[in-house]
Amino acid sequence: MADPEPEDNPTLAPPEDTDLADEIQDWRLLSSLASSKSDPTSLPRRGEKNFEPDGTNRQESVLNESREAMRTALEVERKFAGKTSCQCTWLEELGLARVDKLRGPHFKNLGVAAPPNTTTTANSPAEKTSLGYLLPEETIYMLERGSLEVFYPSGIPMSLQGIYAACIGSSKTRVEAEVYAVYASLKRSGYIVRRAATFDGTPGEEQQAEEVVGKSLWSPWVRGMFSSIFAAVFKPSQPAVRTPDDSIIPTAREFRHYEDVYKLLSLVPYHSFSSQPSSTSTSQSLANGTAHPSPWRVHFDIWKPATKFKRSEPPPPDFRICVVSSRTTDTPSLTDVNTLLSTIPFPSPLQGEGQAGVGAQMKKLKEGRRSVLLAVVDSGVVSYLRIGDLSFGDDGVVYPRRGDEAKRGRGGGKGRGRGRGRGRGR
Amino acid sequence: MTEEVKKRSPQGPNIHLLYADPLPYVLLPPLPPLHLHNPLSYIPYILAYLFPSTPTQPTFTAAFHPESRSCHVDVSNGGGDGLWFKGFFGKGTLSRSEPTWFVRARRAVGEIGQDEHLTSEEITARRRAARQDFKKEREKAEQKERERILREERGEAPPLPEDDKESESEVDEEAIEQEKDAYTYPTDTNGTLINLEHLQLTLPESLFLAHALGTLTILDPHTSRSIPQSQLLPLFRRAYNPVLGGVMPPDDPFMLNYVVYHHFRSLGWVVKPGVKFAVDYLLYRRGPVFSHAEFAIMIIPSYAHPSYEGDVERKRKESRPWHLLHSTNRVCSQVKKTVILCFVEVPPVGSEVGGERLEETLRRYKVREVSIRRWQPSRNRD
Repeated sequence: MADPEPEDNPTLAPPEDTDLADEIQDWRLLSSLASSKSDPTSLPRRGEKNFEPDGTNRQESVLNESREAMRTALEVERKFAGKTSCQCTWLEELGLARVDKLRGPHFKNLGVAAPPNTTTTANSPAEKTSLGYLLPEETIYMLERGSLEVFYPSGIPMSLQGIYAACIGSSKTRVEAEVYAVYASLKRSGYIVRRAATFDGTPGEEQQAEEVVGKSLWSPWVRGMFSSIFAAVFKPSQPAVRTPDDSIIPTAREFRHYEDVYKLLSLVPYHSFSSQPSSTSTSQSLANGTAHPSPWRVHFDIWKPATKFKRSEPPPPDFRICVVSSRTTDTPSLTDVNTLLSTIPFPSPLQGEGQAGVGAQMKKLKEGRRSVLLAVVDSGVVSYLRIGDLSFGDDGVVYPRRGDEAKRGRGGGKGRGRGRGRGRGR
Repeated sequence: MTEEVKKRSPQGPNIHLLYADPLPYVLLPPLPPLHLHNPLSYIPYILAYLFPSTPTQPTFTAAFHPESRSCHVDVSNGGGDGLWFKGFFGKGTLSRSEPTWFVRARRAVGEIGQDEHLTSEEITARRRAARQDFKKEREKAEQKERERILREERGEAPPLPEDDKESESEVDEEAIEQEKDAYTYPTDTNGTLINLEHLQLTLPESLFLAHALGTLTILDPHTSRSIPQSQLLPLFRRAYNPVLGGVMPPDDPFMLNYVVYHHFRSLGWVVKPGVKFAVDYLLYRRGPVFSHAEFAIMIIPSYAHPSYEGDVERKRKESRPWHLLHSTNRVCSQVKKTVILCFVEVPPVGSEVGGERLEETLRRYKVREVSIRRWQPSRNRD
């Protein structure tokens, strides 16, 4: 289905956060593509929003056109070619569908070569990665789409109810209704979805952050050395005893930079990427194993539709998804977040990493070093949240930094464009 | 857009000069860079060594007000201004942000002119009035267009041009005049206006200014004597949660709020209450006058310590309903703020030692931030 673009009406472009799937589609565009009955005139523009009938005939006729276009689109006949029919056999004991006959491009990214946990006798890479079996969620999805026919081992064709009953909710397949709902909605949006290694609860490896080599490694050290020399020479000695009644910044000290004041004030320990991860809490929950897997694990790896995907050597996934049901699982606590994030590797730093500027600083803080998607399913309705692992403390004092002091007193400074145009931003 | 709306609001004072200091703490001027090959550059350092100077720090006084859980600073004679202009602490009780009620009252009484010392509330009111006028004009134009189409379809003749109605605006002005005369501003015996407003500091802000920076003295409301700094923390914790007695649990709401407040203030962020957006705190990079808040902070305690294993209440305190997470996310993303969940690891019960310094108490907590953003499959396809 085509999404009409808001072409020459930029004021009517939807704000960033409305879901494209929630918007009513402009059906008149579709009718000009599907059938030849309606005269395909120029591409219909999205008109202005009407809030109430205003009694004009023009409004009535425009509405009727849109309704007709929608009905035409729904009446289009679905066709299947005989040459590209695909067939599979559902094997109950394995919980997989064995592939008998496959044609067509849809199955490029699906399936596994051999059932998991079996030793394969295939030697060549081609055999190892050839499509031998389809996973339950893939079988249901293809059958629903009409691209596949599934049979029982005895040769009787399997119905949609049958495949649902066999796959969803059985402990053999580990595919709950929520997991399938997320799988299907992502596949329909065009993504390439594969099971992650931790799908059924096998513990993943804990990932460590690489040491970030900063460009300015030299100058803070030098500055620190000089400042400690100056401190010894210039500043008066501190009183020996600090009582609870004294403030944290001692009254006798004086400073030349606000950064030194902030350094004295930063007392609260924070989570930092360069510190050793505390493995006590995470390993406990991971050690539960496959018997009762924690709901906080990565279920799927997904790739954007345009990725060149090779089944033998898949590129690193664009996103990782964890599926939770809002009815059975509460919002994550810190241990749950730790468990979930610990198995995600840190992406290698990008080209534009060293960019200065307020915008880049804020972007880095908002996105964090690594992220995981959380698909929250509430009785079939899926909403996605993106959890980003950040550390404000690692970024240091946000303002003033050393370079900003020169801008004090002048009208300069980059500022943020947003605050300007509306008087004073609050 | 009409011409009035396009014109910029009158230029206020230079905010980079006015809000130059991020904290109400006076620094010594920085020394010029030292060049080892140039003996002249040694001179400032030698002078600084021979004649050390300690700048006098500004001190402010506030009265603790337990009923409203805040501390009040008297702003007559420009007393508490330094707290707002250096670090955006506090809020005027009768104003939108900094205390401007007195200026507006003087303007209403007639002591200063209509365009002198324009406050931000007045600038906003004028801009909104201009936008209202523009919307009325636009509505009229649309109405005329609709009527024209209707007449065309019915086949009637186009109407004669009409005069705009001027009498409507006159009626409004009279109503406004009457409203203004209804309120009389209080004056003292000499006839000068009394400033009814004061600057209100929240309790985490007061503790930070008084104990961490040492620039604020807090007075007891009944005895008017200053409260020693070691007693401030227990006093504020009891004010937030009056039911508590005896030993304070480590996860009482004031302690969690203060730990997060102190953490972000020590990183240079301006931290303001976030109740307008259903969160705990808002973070501004330099302050509200420079840009909108970037982040909205939700505080969630975490009881990961082994001593909390069997605690039944723990799960209830750690979790939030899913719809709260989603709706807060929606509200904040409409205003372009990123929601950050701030997990605070709570130390075990009884780990506090009586009579210890605030630093020791703060060091026992640990903070971890995680950002929550909405993700849409249709928008992230490429």
